[in-house]
Amino acid sequence: MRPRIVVTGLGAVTPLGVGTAVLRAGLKAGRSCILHRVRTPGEDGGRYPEGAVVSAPVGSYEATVPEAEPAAAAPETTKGLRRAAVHVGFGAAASHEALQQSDSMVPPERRGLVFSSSLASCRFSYRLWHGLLASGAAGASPSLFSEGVPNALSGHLARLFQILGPGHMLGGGSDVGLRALVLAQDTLQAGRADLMLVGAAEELSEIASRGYRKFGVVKSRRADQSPAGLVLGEGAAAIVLERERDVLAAGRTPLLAVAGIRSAQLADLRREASIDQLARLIEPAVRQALESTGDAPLWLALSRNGTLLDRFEARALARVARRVQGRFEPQSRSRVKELLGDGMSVSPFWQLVEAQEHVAAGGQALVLSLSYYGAVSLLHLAPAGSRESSA
Amino acid sequence: MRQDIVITGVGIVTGLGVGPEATLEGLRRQRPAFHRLRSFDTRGYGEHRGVEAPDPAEAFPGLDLGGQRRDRAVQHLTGTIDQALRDAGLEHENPVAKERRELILGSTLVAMLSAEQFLREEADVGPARARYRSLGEWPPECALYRLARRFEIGGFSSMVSNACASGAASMQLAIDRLRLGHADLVIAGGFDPMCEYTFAGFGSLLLLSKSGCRPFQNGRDGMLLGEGYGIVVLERADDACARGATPRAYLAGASASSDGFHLTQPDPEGAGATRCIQAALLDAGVTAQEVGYVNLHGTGTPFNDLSEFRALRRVFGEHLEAVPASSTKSYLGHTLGGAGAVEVVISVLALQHGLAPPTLNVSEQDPETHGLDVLAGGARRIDAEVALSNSFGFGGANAAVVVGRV
Repeated sequence: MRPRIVVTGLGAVTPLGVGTAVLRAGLKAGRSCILHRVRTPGEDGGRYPEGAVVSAPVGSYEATVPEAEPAAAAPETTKGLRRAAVHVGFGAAASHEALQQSDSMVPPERRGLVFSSSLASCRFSYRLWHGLLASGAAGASPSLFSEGVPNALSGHLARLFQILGPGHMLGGGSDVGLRALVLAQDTLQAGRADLMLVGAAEELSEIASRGYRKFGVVKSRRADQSPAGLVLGEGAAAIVLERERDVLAAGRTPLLAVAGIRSAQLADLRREASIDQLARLIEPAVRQALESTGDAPLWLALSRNGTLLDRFEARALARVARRVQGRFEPQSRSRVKELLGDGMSVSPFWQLVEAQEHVAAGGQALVLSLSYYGAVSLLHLAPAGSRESSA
Repeated sequence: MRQDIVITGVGIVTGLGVGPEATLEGLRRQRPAFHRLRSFDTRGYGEHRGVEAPDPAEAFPGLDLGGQRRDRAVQHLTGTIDQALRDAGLEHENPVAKERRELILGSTLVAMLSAEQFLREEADVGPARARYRSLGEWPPECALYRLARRFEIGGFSSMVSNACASGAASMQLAIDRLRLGHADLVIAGGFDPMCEYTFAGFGSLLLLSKSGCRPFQNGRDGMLLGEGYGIVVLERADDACARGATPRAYLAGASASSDGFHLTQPDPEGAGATRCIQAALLDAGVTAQEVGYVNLHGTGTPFNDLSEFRALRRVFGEHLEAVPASSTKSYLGHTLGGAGAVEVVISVLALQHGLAPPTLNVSEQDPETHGLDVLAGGARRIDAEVALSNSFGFGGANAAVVVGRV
């Protein structure tokens, strides 16, 4: 039997500000952070040759983290981050909060981390490339290169918080944060570490905004004109995972339990077979959760982000609802994406924070994350101390 | 030695050629693969040498690689995974259900060449007229999607970016997936293409050698870069036995750790590397005395090699002198995210064929690494049961893999 994994600390940096309390209060108050923002080609450091046709400034709806908030909230975590990418600072502030809340005494060698990002250091890579294209070898910046490697984030966090056990950085789509959680759970269950810091961090940039816009998924008109479309968000989240038996033995109280987490790769989102594959992934978790709660409603957070994924997800959920004979209502109760935009790898963690109150009150929650390339993950959260085994 | 996980197939593409036989032959002949780089203009850089793999169409003639517009690294991976599955006897029929097949790869750049293509075009014609199709190939999940679809992998997939330890880290993660019963077959490995971005980046950090790749040589001055793809097919030994597979080796154990020291410099005392190697040996259920060959990380940079030596000295003690060790980066260059996986495949070949390849370009070993038996001059016959492969990278990322002879 694999040991059960629990969450002992949570941290968040969102467009609402720094901290999980700020996040919860903002969500409850329905405070939207989505603003129309105009980004100018070149603001990420791009330079174009004489005579090149430069596109018009890109306007879209976004949700960005207020400037300087992470550094002000946790100044001790910003040491050595002067040259680091912005998302590293977000990740550090979120990790600081999560580790503080966890209050674990696990020694550095037995602590590990798995962090993730979809956009990672996209802005730095872009700037370095433009330096190269403009000035050749002399245009390559050593600090942009070293701070632009994807695992600069996990490397800085390991240094800042002295996490000396297994450390991994994952790149991927919207569900990559939950994939990090999968691997962190494995690491704890395999006994390689006694505490895992898991999280994600994202930073918006002109190139990311332009790329998504060119792919035709970004919301660029007023809501009353076009309700559909992706609103990009940024920020970070971190959670601390430990084995439940260790936490209880130390007399500490877990926040909530990971009752199960499943990931899969769907073959092709246009095919009927993939909808069925997704339904088959969701159904056992729904059944398991319903068995635990009777017919009390499940708290459900969906991937829904205003793109063509929504319809696909809705069809799979409708199938599950039919199979469980209507005992489950496939409606998202999360307000994260509606108010904070889609923080890609980070969003499922913000939804986890949002779900905590419901779970702490004895409920069950499912967080579903689906990426554009068919990667999907489903997290099942249950109250700590309940009897669900880890799936 | 722990014998629960086996390597039933390997795939490898480097500057030495395509497949294990070509790799072994290149190592036997002590043939370095360095040449003047062809894939981009090196004028303006102080160094022009590196190692490029053959073009995908040349490496895998007749194999459908997804079309010429597909990213080069993804084309190479398609061929390398196909090769590994054939080696595992799974080319026709795979008895493992799609949902129980997983893919865990490690890379630092992934499809950076596609991004490069877009950025060059954008600089030429401006963002309004640049075609964004190649930018869509950049995200890691795109590569995973294409490979998962091609090889009918319906379970968990992941792209690990632990810099130069990525390939080896993928094996640590894969072992756990199998041991915990989450998967029945995992395709793991690492890769990185040759790209001007990294060439310029390492150049700007003054890490590229002017005198050639000379790991552990007195007066060494840096690394040279290479392109490489390494893949292993992993299964639980019982499952492999039940389907009649002939394993190449045991994947006895693996480990990962963080230095927590500096973003680009290794801990000079090698404390993180020491912990990593010790944990890998413990995971594999072997002692340092049982290790019969070490494939060194051995990049040829002054600090890296010294840090690795200090870590090995701490783990092996006086026994270090009795263990033949070599850095195959002196043949292949530093294949970055591919290095850990490529070097695990080479370690498997070393155990299978009883042959430890020498390190090239070592005429006078650095006296500060006295006590480390850096093989030089010629290959050595070995009768080793266990080999250790080390990988260390930016961000203080460490990974070590222990393989065992079947």
